Amino acid sequence: MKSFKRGDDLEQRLRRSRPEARDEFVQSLATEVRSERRRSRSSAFRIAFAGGLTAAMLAALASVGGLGYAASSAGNAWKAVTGKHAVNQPAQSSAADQYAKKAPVCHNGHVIYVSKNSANYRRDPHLADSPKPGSKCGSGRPRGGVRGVRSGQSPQGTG
Amino acid sequence: MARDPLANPEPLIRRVYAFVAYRVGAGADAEDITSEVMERALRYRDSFDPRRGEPAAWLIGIARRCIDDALARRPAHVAAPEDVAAPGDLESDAALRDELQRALRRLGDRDRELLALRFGADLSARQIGEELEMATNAVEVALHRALGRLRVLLDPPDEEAEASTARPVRI
Repeated sequence: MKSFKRGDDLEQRLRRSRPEARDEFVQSLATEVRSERRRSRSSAFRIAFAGGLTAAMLAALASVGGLGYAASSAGNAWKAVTGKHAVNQPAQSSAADQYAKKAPVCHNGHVIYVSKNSANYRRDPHLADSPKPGSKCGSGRPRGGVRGVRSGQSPQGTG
Repeated sequence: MARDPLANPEPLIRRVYAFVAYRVGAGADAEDITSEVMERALRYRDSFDPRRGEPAAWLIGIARRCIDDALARRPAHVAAPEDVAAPGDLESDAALRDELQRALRRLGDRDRELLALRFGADLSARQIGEELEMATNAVEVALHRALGRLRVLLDPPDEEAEASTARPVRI
């Protein structure tokens, strides 16, 4: 069949003879494409909503944390200006607290400090309130709060 | 966000189908490949850049890869694709369409792809050039030659006429 002459409308024929898709096929595929687009849009919306909610919660928590930060900043500023620590430090260590305050006694002519809880401790009325440790005391004779060597007494109790 | 390339899918589906059917023949295979093209387009529609071209050209690029994949999967020898007449076609039109399809199948792959891009997908020479990485004028020349070869297949020259018009070649 010689349907096409040279130089004729072959291009038009090619366009006119373009294969046409069935309407049912086009409609069903288009419906599928549209529903898939809707699905992905709604899932994107869900992700965006969850992200927004998380951001809002973080903002709320950050504002609460911000108050604490402001308070500590004020404390730091006070410390920087006065040079003092805002927080009180304990007066003594836990060990010092357990063994109580030590007291001076005269031992072999020198002041030493022993625990008040010591079994041999006796208060020496001749000693000053806070003598320097190691300083001389008594009259060169053994004196002190340790039992048996108290000042003015011989260890045997004969003096 | 970039404009959604699949906002109005019907005309795009028709163009993709026409291109695919020109390449592999109308029928179930063309419909399968068209469906695959739309599926890939949905999956990768975020990659569409409107500055680089129209949605149709982007879809045709996907369709070319789908066709290559389908042809690679296809057995070496297959039956000729079925011809589906468009609704309302006259008998003579159907005969012309059939003849055209047969001639197209006898063309080389490159010619058939060029004609499918131009007359199936309805892309311009510039768009075809962008797709095939060719200059626009090179596309026009290639199209002209492909049309010439198709013309020869549809209307072989008479041997007698050829002989009468043949002139001695001066060497």
